[in-house]
Amino acid sequence: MSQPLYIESGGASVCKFGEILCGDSLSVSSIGDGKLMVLSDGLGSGVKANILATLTTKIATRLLERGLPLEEVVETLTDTLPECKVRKIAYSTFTLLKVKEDGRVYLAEFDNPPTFFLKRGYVSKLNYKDKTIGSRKIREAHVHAEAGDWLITVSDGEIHAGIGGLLNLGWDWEKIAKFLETQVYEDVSAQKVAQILVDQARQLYEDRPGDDTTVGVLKIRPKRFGAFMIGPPVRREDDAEVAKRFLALPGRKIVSGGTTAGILAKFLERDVTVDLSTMTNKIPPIGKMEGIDLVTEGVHTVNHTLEILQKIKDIDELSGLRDGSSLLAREFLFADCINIFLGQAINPAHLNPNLPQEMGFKSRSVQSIASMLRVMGKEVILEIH
Amino acid sequence: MRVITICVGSACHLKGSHEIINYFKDAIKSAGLDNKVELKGSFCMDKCTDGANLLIDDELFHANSVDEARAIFQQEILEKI
Ligand code: FES
Repeated sequence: MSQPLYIESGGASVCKFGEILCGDSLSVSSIGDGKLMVLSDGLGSGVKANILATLTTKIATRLLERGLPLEEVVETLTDTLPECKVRKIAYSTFTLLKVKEDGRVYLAEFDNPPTFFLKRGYVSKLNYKDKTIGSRKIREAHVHAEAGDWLITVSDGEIHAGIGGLLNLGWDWEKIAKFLETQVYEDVSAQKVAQILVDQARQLYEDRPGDDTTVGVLKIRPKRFGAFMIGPPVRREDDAEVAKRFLALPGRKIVSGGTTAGILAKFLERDVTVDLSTMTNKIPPIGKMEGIDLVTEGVHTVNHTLEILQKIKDIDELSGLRDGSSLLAREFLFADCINIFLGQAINPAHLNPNLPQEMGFKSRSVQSIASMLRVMGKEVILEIH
Repeated sequence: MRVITICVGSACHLKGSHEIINYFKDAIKSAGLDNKVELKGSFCMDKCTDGANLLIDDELFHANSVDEARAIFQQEILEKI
């Protein structure tokens, strides 16, 4: 079986100078087995353009999610968009990008700049076919994407950046293509690339963009898996079986809790050592075990990880932090698909009335983390033992 | 070489193993015993109810405060080295 793919998305935009609302709209949604991205540029700028663009992305997204053909999408748009009083037309551009996890890409563009398709680091030409629906001439393309490929779509504000100012003719498609080839590599995120492109355009406009500028990025990369085990199984006799199944899961292995780490250590016939240098006031140190990517203490570490996940917006905020909770949060944010084995055996010592109640909140924290990760769009499979 | 192993499991953490570790770090340093005493951590020692647990070599001790840890250090390390 070929390696499963994941479609990572990112988007950024700046408004035309002096406007508060952006006349472009970008929408990204997950469809069962892939991602759908729609970019639209509404006629004019400000409120009117914003309404046209937003309606376009909303309608197109909804219809495409339901699997309706392009003809129907375009017809609905024509029938639905309000007409501009001055220009007597209902107009907005669009780019539709549908990428499946098996690598199939469908692309349709109407009056937007051509999408950049990067394969092995180079922009390659898409094989477009023209199609006329009503009075609109639309370009369509089908391609096959693999891990390492990128699809980047921009509104014309990007292409015109600097026009009449720093650059005679604006930034120009070919030049952006060359620029992209220098910016896109394995470790950079889709969001980062979107941001770089928009920032670059803003600079070329000398901080006074002459048009709304929007960038949508899809990065096709191998899917990242994580396997997280916390808490010993209720039935002791299940220990070995659970350990075996856990170790057979794909991706990075993460274990929280001393007893849980002990079960795996016994199964693997290895030792767990503790790295005292990673201890902080609040968070116990992490452990080390061959074959396991991260070993931490249980309840305190996990409770604190939940707090971190509630606070931060981006995984980069955790860089350089070595404590167990930050490392655990990193693992969760990094993975696209996480298998969680939650063992519910109660440690008799934790029932001690002298211990604060929070000792019993481990399961609750794990469940909260699981639902947060799902909201972030990750696939979470929670198994209770 | 003597080895002090302190439990950093959930229960012992709550009972202050963190402060106790810091105390031992300082105590070893100020007694100039860096080369004679090694400080280690371990996850749960299965004696959670007994307090912050630690092993000196293979012998189990409980310390419920830094003061108790100080007494243990005095008795088991300083007087036996
Ligand atoms: S946590 Fe220290 S003995 Fe269990």
